[in-house]
Amino acid sequence: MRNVDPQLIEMGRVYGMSGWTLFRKVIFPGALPSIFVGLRFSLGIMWLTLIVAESMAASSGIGHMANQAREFMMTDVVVLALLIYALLGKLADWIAKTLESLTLQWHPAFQKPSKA
Amino acid sequence: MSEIINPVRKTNAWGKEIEPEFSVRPVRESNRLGGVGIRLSGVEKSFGNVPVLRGIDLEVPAGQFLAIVGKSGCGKSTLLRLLVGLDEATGGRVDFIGDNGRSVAANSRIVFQEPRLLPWAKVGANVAVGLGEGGAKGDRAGRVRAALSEVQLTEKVNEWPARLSGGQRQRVALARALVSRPDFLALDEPLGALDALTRITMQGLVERVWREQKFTALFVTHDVGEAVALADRVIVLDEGRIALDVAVDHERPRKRGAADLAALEGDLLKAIFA
Repeated sequence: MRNVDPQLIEMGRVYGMSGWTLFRKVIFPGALPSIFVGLRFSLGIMWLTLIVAESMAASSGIGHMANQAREFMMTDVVVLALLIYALLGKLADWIAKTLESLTLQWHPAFQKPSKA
Repeated sequence: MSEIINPVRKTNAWGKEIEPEFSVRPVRESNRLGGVGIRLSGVEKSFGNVPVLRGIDLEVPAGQFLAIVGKSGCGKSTLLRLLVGLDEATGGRVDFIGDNGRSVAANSRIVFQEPRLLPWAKVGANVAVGLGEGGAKGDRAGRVRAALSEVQLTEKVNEWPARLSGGQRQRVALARALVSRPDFLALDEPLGALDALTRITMQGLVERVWREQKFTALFVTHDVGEAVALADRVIVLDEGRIALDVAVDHERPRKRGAADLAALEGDLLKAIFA
């Protein structure tokens, strides 16, 4: 929120925005880029914690499966577990990225090269 | 003069929105065309212990184009911010005066030095900000189109602000200010950040919309030549006081670089640096 341009907030005030309208039209869109950075960063940490927790303490799930496979030397299952993790991670990142490029079209960094 | 100008504006700005009989008997325009008068009595403003404005008494008739010049830090922007309600005066009164000579609430708008467009909204949506909330969708779109055609940017309605040039962005900001048909328009060095050639075009544009809409305009600038070229009256602020109040009644449109204007500009500059 602190990254939102105070000049824009001031402009919103002069043009009669207050409370919810100001938030919806100025503050929230202005904070979106930072929100997405935070989201993608925390997605990474979330997966990491999940995997560690799963392989150490869980009695079911992919981590448990991978652990058991390791104990019984079933390399193919271990590889499968790793692949599933990779795919899930990639998928989550892709969803975040797509949301980002949908909502941040206005941002110069996300704009496709001009047609004209 | 307004009889000559009106028909132009109506076809220009409102297209099919305005019925022919509207131009015969303007309904809402009677108070709008004249703008509002402004009366400042003993206005003071200080930030902490630092006085910025020290007792400003000023009467601006409705529809006047008043330019305020002065060195930086003389309080000209502060004065403007008081008028549009961005700051509160620490002393004195600010009144907008209607047709009947009584104090009224004015529809005032401001154009800043920077365009201050919402980068996440397309040009059309940015102009619609000037309309506030509510209103029928079709009506809003029509008014946005009209305002954009005033600044000759109709074709950019679906463009992102990041794609526009500096001058175009400032024109969008002007359209946003004009779309609600203000009685009073404050311009805070609106052309300060533009290159010299764009400035000349924009000065013509500002003068044209002012002549068409007849709002009261307060134009803060540090360019004395610009003030003299555009305004009916120029005020020089110095250390929070009005140092000089000059009427400029040269015929419009004024020629840039005309000798009498240049002489006036020279006198004003002398007064500023006296």
